[in-house]
Amino acid sequence: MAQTSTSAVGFDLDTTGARAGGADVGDYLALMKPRVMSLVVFTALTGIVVAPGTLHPVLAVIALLAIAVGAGASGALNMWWDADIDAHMERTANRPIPAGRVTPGEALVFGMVLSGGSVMTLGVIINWVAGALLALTIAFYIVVYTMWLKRRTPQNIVIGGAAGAFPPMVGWAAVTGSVSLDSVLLFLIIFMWTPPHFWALAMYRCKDYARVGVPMLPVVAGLDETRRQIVIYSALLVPLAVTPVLTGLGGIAYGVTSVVLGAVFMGLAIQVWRNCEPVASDRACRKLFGFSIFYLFALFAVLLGESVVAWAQT
Amino acid sequence: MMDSSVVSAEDASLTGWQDRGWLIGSALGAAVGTALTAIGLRFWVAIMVGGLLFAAGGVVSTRAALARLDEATRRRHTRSIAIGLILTALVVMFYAATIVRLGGNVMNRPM
Repeated sequence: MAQTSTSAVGFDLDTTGARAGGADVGDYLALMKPRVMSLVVFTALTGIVVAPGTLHPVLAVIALLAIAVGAGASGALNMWWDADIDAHMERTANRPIPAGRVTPGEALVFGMVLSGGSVMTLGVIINWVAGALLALTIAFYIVVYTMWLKRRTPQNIVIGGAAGAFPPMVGWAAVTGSVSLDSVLLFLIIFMWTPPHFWALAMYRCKDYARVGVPMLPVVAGLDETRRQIVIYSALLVPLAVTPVLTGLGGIAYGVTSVVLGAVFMGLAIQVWRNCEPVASDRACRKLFGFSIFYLFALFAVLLGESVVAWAQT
Repeated sequence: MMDSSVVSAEDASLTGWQDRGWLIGSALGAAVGTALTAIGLRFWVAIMVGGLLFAAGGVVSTRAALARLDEATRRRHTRSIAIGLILTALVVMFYAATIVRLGGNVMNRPM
Protein backbone atom coordinates (compact mmCIF):
# COMPACT_ATOMS: atom_id res chain seq x y z
CA MET A 1 0.00 0.00 0.00
CA ALA A 2 1.31 3.41 -0.90
CA GLN A 3 2.49 5.54 1.99
CA THR A 4 1.20 9.06 1.72
CA SER A 5 1.69 12.24 3.71
CA THR A 6 -0.74 15.07 3.30
CA SER A 7 0.64 18.61 3.21
CA ALA A 8 -1.00 21.75 4.54
CA VAL A 9 -2.86 22.40 1.31
CA GLY A 10 -4.06 18.85 0.97
CA PHE A 11 -1.75 17.44 -1.69
CA ASP A 12 -1.01 13.76 -1.20
CA LEU A 13 2.67 13.02 -1.46
CA ASP A 14 2.87 9.42 -2.59
CA THR A 15 6.23 8.15 -1.39
CA THR A 16 6.33 4.70 -2.90
CA GLY A 17 5.80 5.06 -6.64
CA ALA A 18 3.63 7.14 -8.88
CA ARG A 19 3.20 4.86 -11.85
CA ALA A 20 4.38 1.51 -13.14
CA GLY A 21 7.87 1.66 -14.56
CA GLY A 22 8.60 4.98 -12.91
CA ALA A 23 9.49 8.27 -14.52
CA ASP A 24 10.75 8.92 -18.01
CA VAL A 25 14.18 10.48 -18.62
CA GLY A 26 12.34 13.62 -19.77
CA ASP A 27 10.64 13.89 -16.38
CA TYR A 28 14.02 13.99 -14.66
CA LEU A 29 15.19 16.64 -17.11
CA ALA A 30 12.04 18.65 -16.33
CA LEU A 31 12.91 18.41 -12.61
CA MET A 32 16.10 20.31 -13.40
CA LYS A 33 14.16 23.35 -14.70
CA PRO A 34 16.03 23.51 -18.02
CA ARG A 35 14.93 27.08 -18.81
CA VAL A 36 16.31 28.40 -15.52
CA MET A 37 19.38 26.26 -16.06
CA SER A 38 20.03 27.86 -19.46
CA LEU A 39 20.14 31.36 -17.92
CA VAL A 40 22.45 30.09 -15.17
CA VAL A 41 24.76 28.49 -17.73
CA PHE A 42 24.82 31.69 -19.78
CA THR A 43 25.66 33.98 -16.85
CA ALA A 44 28.25 31.51 -15.53
CA LEU A 45 29.83 31.33 -19.01
CA THR A 46 30.04 35.13 -18.99
CA GLY A 47 31.76 34.98 -15.59
CA ILE A 48 34.28 32.47 -16.95
CA VAL A 49 35.01 34.43 -20.13
CA VAL A 50 35.25 37.95 -18.66
CA ALA A 51 37.36 36.91 -15.65
CA PRO A 52 41.04 37.82 -15.88
CA GLY A 53 43.22 34.79 -16.59
CA THR A 54 42.65 31.66 -18.61
CA LEU A 55 41.05 28.31 -18.10
CA HIS A 56 41.73 25.36 -20.41
CA PRO A 57 38.67 24.87 -22.69
CA VAL A 58 38.14 21.32 -21.41
CA LEU A 59 38.17 22.56 -17.81
CA ALA A 60 35.87 25.46 -18.75
CA VAL A 61 33.34 23.01 -20.21
CA ILE A 62 33.57 20.85 -17.09
CA ALA A 63 33.09 23.92 -14.86
CA LEU A 64 30.02 24.97 -16.86
CA LEU A 65 28.62 21.46 -16.74
CA ALA A 66 29.08 21.29 -12.96
CA ILE A 67 27.42 24.69 -12.50
CA ALA A 68 24.54 23.65 -14.79
CA VAL A 69 24.04 20.38 -12.91
CA GLY A 70 24.21 22.24 -9.59
CA ALA A 71 21.49 24.59 -10.82
CA GLY A 72 19.46 21.60 -12.01
CA ALA A 73 19.87 19.95 -8.60
CA SER A 74 18.54 23.11 -6.95
CA GLY A 75 15.54 22.98 -9.28
CA ALA A 76 14.84 19.34 -8.38
CA LEU A 77 15.09 20.01 -4.63
CA ASN A 78 12.89 23.09 -5.00
CA MET A 79 10.23 21.00 -6.78
CA TRP A 80 10.50 18.34 -4.09
CA TRP A 81 9.84 20.86 -1.31
CA ASP A 82 7.18 22.85 -3.18
CA ALA A 83 5.24 19.89 -4.63
CA ASP A 84 2.24 20.64 -2.42
CA ILE A 85 1.77 24.22 -3.66
CA ASP A 86 2.85 23.42 -7.24
CA ALA A 87 -0.18 21.12 -7.49
CA HIS A 88 -2.51 24.07 -6.93
CA MET A 89 -0.93 26.58 -9.29
CA GLU A 90 -1.84 26.66 -12.97
CA ARG A 91 1.76 27.42 -14.02
CA THR A 92 3.26 24.50 -12.07
CA ALA A 93 0.51 21.88 -11.83
CA ASN A 94 2.00 19.81 -14.64
CA ARG A 95 5.45 19.55 -13.08
CA PRO A 96 6.64 15.93 -12.70
CA ILE A 97 5.84 15.56 -8.96
CA PRO A 98 2.34 17.09 -8.78
CA ALA A 99 1.48 15.36 -12.06
CA GLY A 100 2.44 12.02 -10.44
CA ARG A 101 5.21 11.13 -12.87
CA VAL A 102 8.01 11.34 -10.27
CA THR A 103 7.64 10.59 -6.56
CA PRO A 104 8.88 13.18 -4.03
CA GLY A 105 11.39 10.63 -2.72
CA GLU A 106 12.86 10.11 -6.19
CA ALA A 107 13.14 13.87 -6.71
CA LEU A 108 14.86 14.30 -3.32
CA VAL A 109 17.44 11.59 -4.02
CA PHE A 110 17.98 12.90 -7.56
CA GLY A 111 18.54 16.44 -6.28
CA MET A 112 20.86 15.39 -3.45
CA VAL A 113 23.01 13.17 -5.67
CA LEU A 114 23.33 15.89 -8.32
CA SER A 115 24.11 18.54 -5.68
CA GLY A 116 26.89 16.49 -4.11
CA GLY A 117 28.23 15.38 -7.48
CA SER A 118 28.34 18.87 -8.99
CA VAL A 119 30.02 20.47 -5.96
CA MET A 120 32.60 17.68 -5.67
CA THR A 121 33.34 17.77 -9.39
CA LEU A 122 33.82 21.54 -9.41
CA GLY A 123 35.92 21.41 -6.24
CA VAL A 124 38.15 18.50 -7.25
CA ILE A 125 38.67 19.38 -10.91
CA ILE A 126 38.55 23.19 -10.91
CA ASN A 127 39.12 24.70 -7.44
CA TRP A 128 37.50 24.68 -4.02
CA VAL A 129 36.56 28.37 -3.99
CA ALA A 130 34.28 27.74 -6.98
CA GLY A 131 33.09 24.48 -5.40
CA ALA A 132 32.27 26.23 -2.12
CA LEU A 133 30.42 29.03 -3.94
CA LEU A 134 28.36 26.46 -5.85
CA ALA A 135 27.54 24.67 -2.58
CA LEU A 136 26.53 28.03 -1.09
CA THR A 137 24.34 28.76 -4.12
CA ILE A 138 22.49 25.45 -3.82
CA ALA A 139 22.12 25.76 -0.03
CA PHE A 140 20.94 29.37 -0.32
CA TYR A 141 18.31 28.49 -2.92
CA ILE A 142 16.99 25.48 -1.07
CA VAL A 143 17.37 26.29 2.61
CA VAL A 144 17.20 30.09 2.72
CA TYR A 145 14.80 30.77 -0.16
CA THR A 146 12.66 27.66 -0.69
CA MET A 147 12.37 26.32 2.87
CA TRP A 148 12.69 29.47 4.95
CA LEU A 149 11.69 32.67 3.15
CA LYS A 150 9.35 31.71 0.32
CA ARG A 151 6.29 30.98 2.45
CA ARG A 152 7.08 33.43 5.26
CA THR A 153 7.87 36.88 3.92
CA PRO A 154 7.07 39.09 0.92
CA GLN A 155 10.80 39.82 0.81
CA ASN A 156 11.32 36.18 -0.26
CA ILE A 157 12.59 36.89 -3.75
CA VAL A 158 14.60 39.95 -2.70
CA ILE A 159 16.84 37.91 -0.39
CA GLY A 160 16.38 34.61 -2.20
CA GLY A 161 17.37 36.30 -5.45
CA ALA A 162 20.97 36.03 -4.28
CA ALA A 163 20.89 32.35 -5.22
CA GLY A 164 20.24 33.20 -8.86
CA ALA A 165 22.93 35.88 -8.76
CA PHE A 166 25.79 33.61 -7.72
CA PRO A 167 26.49 31.73 -11.03
CA PRO A 168 28.66 34.43 -12.71
CA MET A 169 30.60 34.67 -9.46
CA VAL A 170 31.09 30.88 -9.47
CA GLY A 171 32.28 31.07 -13.09
CA TRP A 172 34.65 33.91 -12.20
CA ALA A 173 36.01 31.94 -9.23
CA ALA A 174 36.54 28.92 -11.48
CA VAL A 175 39.09 30.96 -13.45
CA THR A 176 40.66 33.13 -10.76
CA GLY A 177 40.15 31.07 -7.62
CA SER A 178 38.90 34.19 -5.88
CA VAL A 179 36.10 36.75 -5.60
CA SER A 180 36.72 40.34 -6.73
CA LEU A 181 34.85 43.63 -7.09
CA ASP A 182 33.96 42.92 -10.72
CA SER A 183 32.47 39.55 -9.90
CA VAL A 184 30.51 41.16 -7.06
CA LEU A 185 29.16 43.70 -9.58
CA LEU A 186 27.91 40.88 -11.81
CA PHE A 187 26.29 39.36 -8.73
CA LEU A 188 24.65 42.67 -7.78
CA ILE A 189 23.23 43.26 -11.26
CA ILE A 190 21.34 39.95 -11.17
CA PHE A 191 20.45 40.49 -7.51
CA MET A 192 18.81 43.87 -8.22
CA TRP A 193 17.22 42.58 -11.43
CA THR A 194 15.40 39.74 -9.65
CA PRO A 195 12.74 41.74 -7.71
CA PRO A 196 11.26 43.72 -10.64
CA HIS A 197 11.47 40.59 -12.82
CA PHE A 198 9.62 38.33 -10.37
CA TRP A 199 7.18 40.93 -9.08
CA ALA A 200 6.09 41.64 -12.66
CA LEU A 201 5.30 37.92 -12.94
CA ALA A 202 3.67 37.83 -9.49
CA MET A 203 1.41 40.77 -10.42
CA TYR A 204 -0.33 38.83 -13.17
CA ARG A 205 -0.12 35.50 -11.31
CA CYS A 206 -1.33 37.08 -8.08
CA LYS A 207 -4.39 34.83 -7.71
CA ASP A 208 -2.26 31.69 -8.08
CA TYR A 209 0.09 32.77 -5.29
CA ALA A 210 -2.80 33.88 -3.06
CA ARG A 211 -4.56 30.52 -3.50
CA VAL A 212 -1.55 28.56 -2.23
CA GLY A 213 -0.66 31.05 0.51
CA VAL A 214 2.72 32.19 -0.80
CA PRO A 215 3.15 35.75 0.52
CA MET A 216 4.39 37.37 -2.67
CA LEU A 217 4.45 41.16 -2.43
CA PRO A 218 1.31 41.73 -4.56
CA VAL A 219 -0.61 39.27 -2.35
CA VAL A 220 0.51 40.78 0.96
CA ALA A 221 1.09 44.46 0.25
CA GLY A 222 -1.23 44.90 -2.72
CA LEU A 223 -0.69 45.80 -6.37
CA ASP A 224 -0.06 49.51 -5.81
CA GLU A 225 2.76 48.92 -3.34
CA THR A 226 4.26 46.31 -5.69
CA ARG A 227 4.17 48.81 -8.56
CA ARG A 228 6.03 51.32 -6.37
CA GLN A 229 8.64 48.71 -5.36
CA ILE A 230 9.14 47.67 -9.00
CA VAL A 231 9.95 51.29 -9.90
CA ILE A 232 12.32 51.68 -6.91
CA TYR A 233 14.25 48.50 -7.68
CA SER A 234 14.36 49.34 -11.40
CA ALA A 235 15.75 52.78 -10.54
CA LEU A 236 18.49 51.06 -8.50
CA LEU A 237 19.18 48.42 -11.14
CA VAL A 238 19.58 50.65 -14.20
CA PRO A 239 22.51 52.78 -12.93
CA LEU A 240 24.06 49.74 -11.22
CA ALA A 241 24.09 47.93 -14.57
CA VAL A 242 26.28 50.74 -16.00
CA THR A 243 28.97 50.46 -13.29
CA PRO A 244 31.01 47.70 -15.02
CA VAL A 245 32.04 50.46 -17.45
CA LEU A 246 33.55 52.41 -14.55
CA THR A 247 35.62 49.46 -13.32
CA GLY A 248 36.81 48.60 -16.83
CA LEU A 249 34.93 45.30 -16.95
CA GLY A 250 32.60 46.63 -19.65
CA GLY A 251 33.60 48.65 -22.74
CA ILE A 252 31.83 51.22 -24.88
CA ALA A 253 29.44 48.70 -26.44
CA TYR A 254 28.43 47.53 -22.99
CA GLY A 255 28.00 51.12 -21.78
CA VAL A 256 25.74 52.07 -24.69
CA THR A 257 23.73 48.83 -24.38
CA SER A 258 23.22 49.19 -20.64
CA VAL A 259 22.16 52.84 -20.94
CA VAL A 260 19.74 52.29 -23.85
CA LEU A 261 18.21 49.07 -22.53
CA GLY A 262 18.17 50.52 -19.03
CA ALA A 263 16.09 53.44 -20.28
CA VAL A 264 13.63 51.00 -21.88
CA PHE A 265 13.53 48.94 -18.67
CA MET A 266 12.79 52.06 -16.64
CA GLY A 267 10.12 53.11 -19.13
CA LEU A 268 8.37 49.74 -18.85
CA ALA A 269 8.58 49.86 -15.03
CA ILE A 270 6.92 53.30 -15.11
CA GLN A 271 4.23 51.89 -17.42
CA VAL A 272 3.55 49.21 -14.80
CA TRP A 273 3.34 51.92 -12.14
CA ARG A 274 0.91 54.08 -14.16
CA ASN A 275 -1.42 51.36 -15.47
CA CYS A 276 -3.76 50.42 -12.64
CA GLU A 277 -6.67 49.21 -14.75
CA PRO A 278 -6.59 45.35 -14.64
CA VAL A 279 -6.19 44.57 -18.36
CA ALA A 280 -3.64 47.34 -18.99
CA SER A 281 -1.81 46.42 -15.79
CA ASP A 282 -1.56 42.77 -16.87
CA ARG A 283 -0.26 43.80 -20.26
CA ALA A 284 2.32 46.16 -18.78
CA CYS A 285 3.52 43.48 -16.33
CA ARG A 286 3.86 40.86 -19.06
CA LYS A 287 5.84 43.34 -21.16
CA LEU A 288 8.19 44.14 -18.28
CA PHE A 289 8.60 40.46 -17.41
CA GLY A 290 9.45 39.53 -21.01
CA PHE A 291 11.76 42.49 -21.51
CA SER A 292 13.58 41.89 -18.21
CA ILE A 293 14.74 38.47 -19.49
CA PHE A 294 15.98 40.04 -22.72
CA TYR A 295 17.63 42.87 -20.74
CA LEU A 296 19.72 40.58 -18.55
CA PHE A 297 20.57 38.33 -21.49
CA ALA A 298 21.66 41.32 -23.60
CA LEU A 299 23.85 42.84 -20.86
CA PHE A 300 25.72 39.59 -20.31
CA ALA A 301 25.87 38.83 -24.05
CA VAL A 302 27.55 42.18 -24.74
CA LEU A 303 30.03 41.66 -21.90
CA LEU A 304 30.75 38.21 -23.32
CA GLY A 305 31.07 39.58 -26.88
CA GLU A 306 33.47 42.33 -25.81
CA SER A 307 35.72 39.82 -24.06
CA VAL A 308 35.72 37.47 -27.05
CA VAL A 309 36.57 40.34 -29.41
CA ALA A 310 39.36 41.54 -27.09
CA TRP A 311 40.70 37.98 -26.88
CA ALA A 312 40.60 37.58 -30.69
CA GLN A 313 42.56 40.82 -31.15
CA THR A 314 45.42 39.77 -28.85
CA MET B 1 -6.13 -4.39 -19.87
CA MET B 2 -3.66 -4.51 -22.72
CA ASP B 3 -1.24 -7.42 -22.83
CA SER B 4 2.26 -5.92 -22.56
CA SER B 5 3.80 -8.74 -24.58
CA VAL B 6 1.74 -7.92 -27.68
CA VAL B 7 3.77 -6.29 -30.44
CA SER B 8 1.82 -3.84 -32.60
CA ALA B 9 2.13 -3.87 -36.38
CA GLU B 10 3.87 -0.49 -36.24
CA ASP B 11 6.42 -1.78 -33.73
CA ALA B 12 6.99 -4.96 -35.71
CA SER B 13 7.78 -2.88 -38.79
CA LEU B 14 10.81 -1.53 -36.92
CA THR B 15 12.49 -4.91 -37.00
CA GLY B 16 14.90 -5.40 -39.89
CA TRP B 17 17.82 -3.13 -40.78
CA GLN B 18 17.12 -0.95 -37.75
CA ASP B 19 17.83 -3.92 -35.49
CA ARG B 20 21.25 -4.15 -37.05
CA GLY B 21 22.00 -0.49 -36.32
CA TRP B 22 24.98 -1.29 -34.09
CA LEU B 23 26.52 -3.46 -36.81
CA ILE B 24 25.86 -1.00 -39.65
CA GLY B 25 27.02 1.95 -37.53
CA SER B 26 30.23 0.16 -36.57
CA ALA B 27 31.02 -0.79 -40.17
CA LEU B 28 30.22 2.70 -41.48
CA GLY B 29 32.16 4.34 -38.64
CA ALA B 30 35.23 2.19 -39.23
CA ALA B 31 35.09 2.70 -43.01
CA VAL B 32 34.59 6.47 -42.87
CA GLY B 33 37.15 6.86 -40.07
CA THR B 34 39.75 4.91 -42.06
CA ALA B 35 38.96 6.86 -45.26
CA LEU B 36 39.28 10.22 -43.46
CA THR B 37 42.62 9.19 -41.95
CA ALA B 38 43.81 7.99 -45.37
CA ILE B 39 43.07 11.35 -47.00
CA GLY B 40 45.16 13.09 -44.34
CA LEU B 41 42.53 14.43 -41.98
CA ARG B 42 43.67 14.67 -38.36
CA PHE B 43 43.39 11.31 -36.65
CA TRP B 44 41.26 12.48 -33.77
CA VAL B 45 38.74 14.15 -36.14
CA ALA B 46 38.44 10.85 -38.02
CA ILE B 47 37.97 9.04 -34.71
CA MET B 48 35.20 11.48 -33.74
CA VAL B 49 33.35 11.15 -37.07
CA GLY B 50 33.66 7.36 -36.94
CA GLY B 51 32.48 7.37 -33.34
CA LEU B 52 29.46 9.49 -34.18
CA LEU B 53 28.41 7.07 -36.94
CA PHE B 54 28.88 4.17 -34.53
CA ALA B 55 26.77 5.95 -31.90
CA ALA B 56 24.08 6.86 -34.47
CA GLY B 57 23.82 3.18 -35.43
CA GLY B 58 23.51 2.34 -31.74
CA VAL B 59 20.74 4.88 -31.25
CA VAL B 60 18.78 3.44 -34.21
CA SER B 61 18.99 -0.16 -33.03
CA THR B 62 18.30 0.80 -29.39
CA ARG B 63 15.21 2.75 -30.45
CA ALA B 64 14.05 -0.22 -32.51
CA ALA B 65 14.47 -2.50 -29.50
CA LEU B 66 12.75 -0.06 -27.11
CA ALA B 67 9.79 0.39 -29.49
CA ARG B 68 8.86 -3.27 -29.02
CA LEU B 69 8.62 -3.00 -25.25
CA ASP B 70 5.57 -2.02 -23.24
CA GLU B 71 5.48 1.52 -21.82
CA ALA B 72 6.68 0.73 -18.28
CA THR B 73 9.57 -1.48 -19.44
CA ARG B 74 10.50 1.09 -22.07
CA ARG B 75 10.78 3.79 -19.41
CA ARG B 76 12.92 1.55 -17.21
CA HIS B 77 15.22 0.67 -20.12
CA THR B 78 15.51 4.31 -21.20
CA ARG B 79 16.48 5.29 -17.66
CA SER B 80 19.09 2.53 -17.52
CA ILE B 81 20.56 3.63 -20.84
CA ALA B 82 20.65 7.25 -19.65
CA ILE B 83 22.44 6.25 -16.44
CA GLY B 84 24.92 4.20 -18.46
CA LEU B 85 25.61 7.13 -20.78
CA ILE B 86 26.02 9.55 -17.85
CA LEU B 87 28.48 7.21 -16.12
CA THR B 88 30.45 6.81 -19.36
CA ALA B 89 30.50 10.60 -19.79
CA LEU B 90 31.75 10.99 -16.21
CA VAL B 91 34.60 8.55 -16.84
CA VAL B 92 35.57 10.38 -20.04
CA MET B 93 35.28 13.74 -18.26
CA PHE B 94 37.54 12.77 -15.35
CA TYR B 95 40.01 11.14 -17.76
CA ALA B 96 40.13 14.32 -19.90
CA ALA B 97 40.46 16.53 -16.80
CA THR B 98 43.33 14.40 -15.51
CA ILE B 99 45.18 14.63 -18.82
CA VAL B 100 44.62 18.41 -18.98
CA ARG B 101 45.65 18.95 -15.37
CA LEU B 102 48.72 16.72 -15.41
CA GLY B 103 49.64 16.84 -19.10
CA GLY B 104 53.05 15.31 -19.73
CA ASN B 105 53.72 15.09 -16.00
CA VAL B 106 51.60 11.96 -15.58
CA MET B 107 54.72 9.81 -15.17
CA ASN B 108 56.87 12.54 -13.65
CA ARG B 109 57.09 11.64 -9.98
CA PRO B 110 59.80 10.45 -7.62
CA MET B 111 59.98 6.66 -7.48
